[in-house]
Formats: sequence, C-alpha cells, structure tokens
Amino acid sequence: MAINGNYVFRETAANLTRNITLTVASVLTVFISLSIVGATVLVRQGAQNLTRQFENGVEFIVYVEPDASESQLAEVRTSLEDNPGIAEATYIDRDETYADFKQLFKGQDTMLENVRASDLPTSFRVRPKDSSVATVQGLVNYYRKQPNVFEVRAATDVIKQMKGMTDFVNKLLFFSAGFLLAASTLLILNTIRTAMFARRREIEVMKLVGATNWFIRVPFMLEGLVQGVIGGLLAIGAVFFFRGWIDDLLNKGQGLELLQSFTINGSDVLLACLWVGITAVVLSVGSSLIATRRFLDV
Amino acid sequence: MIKLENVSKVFKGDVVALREADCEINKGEFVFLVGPSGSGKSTMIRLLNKQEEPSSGSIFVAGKDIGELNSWKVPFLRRNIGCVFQDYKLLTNKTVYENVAFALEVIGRPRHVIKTQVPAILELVGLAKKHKNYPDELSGGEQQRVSIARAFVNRPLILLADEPTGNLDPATSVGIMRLLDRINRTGTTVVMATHDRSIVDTMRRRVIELDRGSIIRDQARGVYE
Repeated sequence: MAINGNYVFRETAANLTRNITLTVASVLTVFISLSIVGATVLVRQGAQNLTRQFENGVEFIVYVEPDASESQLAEVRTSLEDNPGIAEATYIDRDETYADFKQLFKGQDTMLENVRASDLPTSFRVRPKDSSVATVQGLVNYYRKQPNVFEVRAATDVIKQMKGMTDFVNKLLFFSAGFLLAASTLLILNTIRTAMFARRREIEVMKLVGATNWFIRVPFMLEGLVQGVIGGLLAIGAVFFFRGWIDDLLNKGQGLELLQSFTINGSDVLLACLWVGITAVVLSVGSSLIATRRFLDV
Repeated sequence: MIKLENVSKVFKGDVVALREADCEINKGEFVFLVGPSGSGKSTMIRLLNKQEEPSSGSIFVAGKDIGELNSWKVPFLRRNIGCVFQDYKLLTNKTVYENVAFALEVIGRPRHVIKTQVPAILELVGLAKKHKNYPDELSGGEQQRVSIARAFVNRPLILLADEPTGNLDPATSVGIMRLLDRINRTGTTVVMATHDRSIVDTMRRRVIELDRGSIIRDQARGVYE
C-alpha cells in the first residue's frame, strides 16, 4: 500500500511540535545517555591502546649494586644472557648512565655537582622474548631476588594500576549509560503514548474506515526516530568534544607521562560514533514499536 | 451478504449481549435492528465490523468467515463496511471536506481520486456549500450527513448505522432516512439499529427485533412492534 509521503511528514511534524516540552525532554535524555555510551567506548579503546603499547616491546631495567665487583657483574650478565625467557640484555656502563643523568638533570647545577659517576648504579636494559604482562612480572620478581641486584624497574605495576583504574571508570560509565538508556527508552515511549492519546479520536476513525495499523503507526514511529536521531547527533558531537578534551588534557599534563600512551585515534572515534548511532536508532525504533503496539491492539 | 450462525457474545461477568443469534441479510437489503437499550443491537453492529469478537458462532461477511480473518486483514474488511454513529465521530479540528477526505487519505487513495470523490459525495448529502465549515459550525443533522458522507465515500458494500437519528429531531431524522434510503438504492446493504418507532413504521422495511440478546422477531416489511 502506498503511504502518502506528504501525509506522513505533516503528521510527524505535528506530533513533534504539539508536545514540545516532552519532545525536548526525550531528546536531552537520549543525548546525555548516548554521550555516555560514546565516552564508554572512547575510554575502553584508549585503555586498550594503552595496554597494547606496553605489551609490545615492554622492557625492564635491572640495576646492579653500585659497589658490585667485576665478577659479580659478570654473574648477573650470564644469568641474564642464559635465561631462555630473555631476548636481549644490553649493558649500560657508568659513563653512559652518567651522560643520561646529566641530560635528565640539565640546569639543576646543585644536583650535578653533588652526584659523581661512581655513585650511580650501572644497569642492564632487558628485552624479554614474551612481552605479556604476566611473563614480564615473573621475570621482574625473579631478578629482584638475585644477588647483586640493586633494583628492578618495570612498567608492569603501573600498567596494572592503570588497567584497574580504567576498568573501574569503564564499569561506572557502563552502568550509568545503562540506566540512562532505560530512562530515555521510557521517556520516548511516554512521549509517543501521550501523542497517541491526544489523537485517540483520529486513531479511532482511522481504524473504522480501514487504515492499516502500519499506516497509523508510521508517523508515531517516525516521531520516536526523529527524537532518537537528534539526540544521537548531539551525542556524536559530544564524542568529538570528548576527544579534543582528552587530547588537551594529555598534552598539558606533564605529570601524566604514562597517560601519553592513552591515545584515542580516528578509528576509535569512528567506532564510538557508530555505537552511538546504532544505539540511537535501535532505542528509538524499539520504544516506538512498543508504544504503538500497545495502543493499536484491538 | 451477512450471515450470523449461532452467534453469542458474553461480556465479563456473564453479561449476555447476544444469545445464539441466527440470521441472514442479503445484498441490497435495508434492515432495522430494534429493541430496548441493552438488547444487543449495538453489539451485533460491532460484531459485523470486527470491533468485537463473538464468544461463539460464526459471522460471514461477503461470503467470508470473518472469525478466520488474520488481524492484518481486518482493515481491508472495514474498507467494505461504512459506519455511522449516534455521536457522528467527526474530527473537530478538520473541515467538512477534510473529514471526508481523511477517510480516503488514510486508506492510501491517490490525491486525484480524493479530489473528485469528496466533492461528489458532499453534493450527494447536500453539503457542497459547507465544505469549508468546521463540524461545530453545523447543525446535528448536517453533522450526521458529513458522517454519512465519510462512511459512504469509499462506496462500501455495507453501511452500518448505530442509532443515526438518536440525537436528531423528527424532521431532521426524516432527511437522514431519505439519504440512507438513497444510498440503499445504489445497492448498498444497510443495517440500522434504532429506537425510532415512527421511522420504522413509515419505512416498512425488514425488522429484526432483539430482546435481552435474543432475536425474537424477524419480519419482512415490518413495523416497530
């Protein structure tokens, strides 16, 4: 059956404007909840990028006791080189360490004057064969207990902390998104039911003269869809805003050096927008279907 | 055209609205349903266009058992059955023309059909000059004419009228009856529930009398009682 496009457009527009306050309320709720959906996806992707970066080529540094003798140093070296889990161990000698140190504390003259090369521990930069967090953590724990080892530094602890933090933030966002999505579904449902109630006489006449349920339903469903899509578009705008905001935050925050790896690239933003868009359509079409079905059953 | 076979309708709380009704109405007939309030006249009308489902028995419209009809086919059944009510059921925010055009628009009739059919039917019911008026600017009789125009504009096979003169004075009622008679003479089957003794007695058409849900009389060219 041909549905008159002009009729559908007119009726949808009339429904949307008749109940402007409810329409605005639904659009805003959809907007907020979908923004959180978008943020959830961004944080999730960022956290994934972060751990992936550390998981690829994660190194750890074994510092040798500063007063270790040549033979003790050799022991540590053989232990590292003979370990089947280790791909490469590079020795950083005193001069090199001191050069790095000078580089690091450039301009801080008191620091440079008081520290001599002999005070600094030499170290091995170790690249394990298997770079998963668990393996690295195992190696780190092993070398911490070895004699003549001053300290072992690895990023794994920090990664664990970061992961814990992002997981927590993610769960928080996930649940708030869930509750808000439920709220927006109910609001759209209610808006449409109000619109249908306001037009119950027209609907009654339409049924009596033989309009199909789909014909009656389409303008109301479109009303729900329009609300969802406007809310979704605003939320996609918010996703881009979040992205810019996170970038700014990372660029300014020197203290957050580790967070530099918390990057969000173009494909992550696209993924977030995709999720927001799909959720918007599913949510609005679903709630309009429920709303119109309940009203049209004879 | 219409056949009821052993049709009963029981509402919640064991209220029997129709009890084992049997009757057959042929194409082109004009039938009055008479009886006191609550005797089952309106229920019978509502069963015919599937606004209600019978509790038992079968109803045939145009040779089809409408109890077997899929719910999505019900609108197509209703396109063959026009309906007129005591309270007109006009849309107050639409003009006379728009009210009638609405009935064609919502069943997807093309615009050129609407543009020719609506003026023609308004001419038939005598309201061509008032097509731009709103329902509350019309008299009761005129409003009922609009409602008849809306019911008949799609040229249905059957016209159901539930107390169409219930709110009208006798003189206006005569005008409405003339209109229904005219529609009947185009071959449309008309089933009309009424309380109006004088109308039934003057028209001398088939009368089916109901009492507490049972058909107690079925008389060709009958009177009210």
